[in-house]
Amino acid sequence: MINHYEEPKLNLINSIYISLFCLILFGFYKNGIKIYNGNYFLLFKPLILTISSFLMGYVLDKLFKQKKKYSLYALLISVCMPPQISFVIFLPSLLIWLILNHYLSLKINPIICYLFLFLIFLKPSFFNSLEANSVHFYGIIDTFLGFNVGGICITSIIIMILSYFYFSTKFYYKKEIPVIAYFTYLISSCLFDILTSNSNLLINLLNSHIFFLLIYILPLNQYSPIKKKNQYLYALISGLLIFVCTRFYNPLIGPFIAVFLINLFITINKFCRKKRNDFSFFKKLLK
Amino acid sequence: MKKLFKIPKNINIQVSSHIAEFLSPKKIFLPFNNQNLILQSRIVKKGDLIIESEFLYAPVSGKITNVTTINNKNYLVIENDFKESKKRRKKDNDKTIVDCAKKINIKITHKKGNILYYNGLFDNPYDATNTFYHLNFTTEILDCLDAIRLDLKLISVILLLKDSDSESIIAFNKVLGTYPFISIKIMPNVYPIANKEILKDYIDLENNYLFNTIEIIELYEIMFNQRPLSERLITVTGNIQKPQVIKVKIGCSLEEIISEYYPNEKIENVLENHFLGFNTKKVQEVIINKDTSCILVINNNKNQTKPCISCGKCVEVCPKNCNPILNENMENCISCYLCDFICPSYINLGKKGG
Repeated sequence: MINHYEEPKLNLINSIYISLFCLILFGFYKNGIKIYNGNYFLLFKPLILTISSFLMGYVLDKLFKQKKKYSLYALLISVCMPPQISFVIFLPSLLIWLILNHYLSLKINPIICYLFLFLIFLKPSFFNSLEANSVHFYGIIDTFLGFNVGGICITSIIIMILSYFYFSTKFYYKKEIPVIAYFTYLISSCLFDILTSNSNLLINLLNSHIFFLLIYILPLNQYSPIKKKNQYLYALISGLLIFVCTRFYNPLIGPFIAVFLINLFITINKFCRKKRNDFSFFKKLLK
Repeated sequence: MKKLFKIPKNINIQVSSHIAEFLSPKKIFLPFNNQNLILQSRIVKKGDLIIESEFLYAPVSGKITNVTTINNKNYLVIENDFKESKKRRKKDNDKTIVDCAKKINIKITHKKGNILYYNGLFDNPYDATNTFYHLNFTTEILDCLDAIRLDLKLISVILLLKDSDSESIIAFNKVLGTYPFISIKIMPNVYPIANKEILKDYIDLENNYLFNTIEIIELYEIMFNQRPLSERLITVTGNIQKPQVIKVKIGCSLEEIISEYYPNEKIENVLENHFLGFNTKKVQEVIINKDTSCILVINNNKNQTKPCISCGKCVEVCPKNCNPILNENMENCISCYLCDFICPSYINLGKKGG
C-alpha cells in the first residue's frame, strides 16, 4: 500500500556509511600502509581510530535508544582527526562530549562543535609521521587523488566528489548547499587571487577539508535550514566564511571554524525565533 | 505555477469491474443541524415517520429511532421500513438550474465567462468511483452538463479528464458526437490537481463555472428525477481481498457495508477519501455521506513517529507553500497530506492544516 513515500534502496545514512567506508580505506592506505615502518599500531591506526569511535557511538546508541545517531557522529568526527592524534586524548574526550550532548541536548551541531573546540584548543598538526619527518611536495593530481596533508581519512577529494553525486540521488539530501557554498568560495577565491596576483589558486581550491565539510557536514538535515531560500543563503554565507577563515587564518583549521560559526549563527537564529514566538504568545495573552 | 508531485500507485490493487449494490441498509444516519431545525420551527421526535420534508431528505423511508453523535456530528438514526418506493412522490419540474441547485445547497453565482468546466479529475489513484460514474452514467452526465449550459447561456462545456484515465476518455469520446458544445481537455496526472485551489493555476476559474462529478450527478437527480441524491458509488479498496465499487445509500454506516461484503476480514482502520497521511478513522466512525468517494483500508500502521530531522521536504512538496514545521502560511493548507506522505519521520503534519 503506497500511503507513504519510502526511499528506494538505501537511505541517506547508509549511503554516508558506504562513502565513509571508502574514505577510511583510502585513509588506511595513505596514513597506514604508506607510512608502515614495522610498527603494526601505526599501520592500523586509521582503522583502529575509526572503528573504536564507531563502536563507542554504537554502544551509546544502544544505551540511549537512538538509531544510528551517535555512531554516525563519532565516525564523522573520527575521520577528521589529525593522523598523529593521541588515543588517550581523543577517545575519552569524544565519549564525554557525546554523553554531554545527550544529557544537555545541545541544539548546535555536535560534530562541528567538537571539532572546533578540539582544533582550536589543541591546534594539532595534520602531517602524518612521514610528512612530519621529511620534505614533501604534493602536486595538483596528488591533491585531487588524496595524497595531501589533512585529516586522517578525509584527504581524497575524488572519493568525496563521487560521494556527493551518490548522495545527490538520495531524496532527503540537500544537494544544493554544497554546490552553492563551493561556488561562492571559488568565486571569492578567484577574485581575491586576481586582485592580489596570487598564483596558488588551484591548490587553495583543492582543499580536502572544505570538500568534506561542504559534502558531509553542511547539508546535515537537522542543522541546516528548512526552506529552500534559507538554504541558499546559508550556503552563500558558508562559502564566504570558509573563504575568509581559510585565507586569513589557517587553510586546514579555518574551514572548521567557518562552519562552526555558521552553525552557531543558525542555532542563535532558531533560538531567537522561538523566543519571539514565546513573546508573541505572551502578548496575545496580555491582550 | 509550482511543480507538482507524481505519486506512484501500487499496481497490485485492482478494483473489480462490476458495481456491487448495497441499497437496503437496516439503519441510516442522517446528519442534522440543530439551528436548521429551530429555524424551521419544527422539532423532530423519536418515532416520526420520515421520507421527505422541506428541511430533511432521507435516502430511505422509516422511523426516527434515535439521535446520536459520531465524530462530533449529530445524526438522526432512521430505521429502514423498506417502503421507500411507495412513499416517494414526484414533484413538478423546477424551472431553472439555479433553483434546482439551491435545493441541494449548491450555490451558482453569476460569472463573466462563457465556459462550464466539468471536474472529472480525481487525486486518489485507488479511487475508481469517478471512472465508474463516467462509464455507467456517461449520457446522464453529458445531458446534465448540456442542460446547465443552456440554462446559464454558456458557449461551451469542457470536460477535464486525467491523461491516465483512459477509460473515461474513451467512454466520453464515444458519445460526444451528439453534444457539439462539449469537448475534452486532458490534464496531467499530478497530485493534487483535482483540488479546486490547484486547478486554478491551470484554468480560469475566476470567471468560469466548475462542477465536479457528484455535483453533476446530484443536479441530474434533482433536474431529471425531481429528487435529491440518495445513493452514490463508493470504492472500497486497500488491504482487502476484493477491492470493489459499491452502490450505497447515503447515510448508511461503513460498518454495515463491511459486514455485508467483507464478513471474514478484520478491518479496523480506514482512510476516508484521501489516501495519504495518517488521519485514519475506525470503521465504526465512518458514515457514508454525499462526498464519500473512497474507503481505503489500512492495516499497516507499524511506523512510529520519530523526531523531525528538518529535511524540509514537507515545505518543498507543499503545493500551497505552507510550512507545517514552523506553522507558516497554514491558512492556505488544502489538506492534501503530501507533507505526511513525504515525511521520513512519519510525523502527522497534515493535521495542522486539516
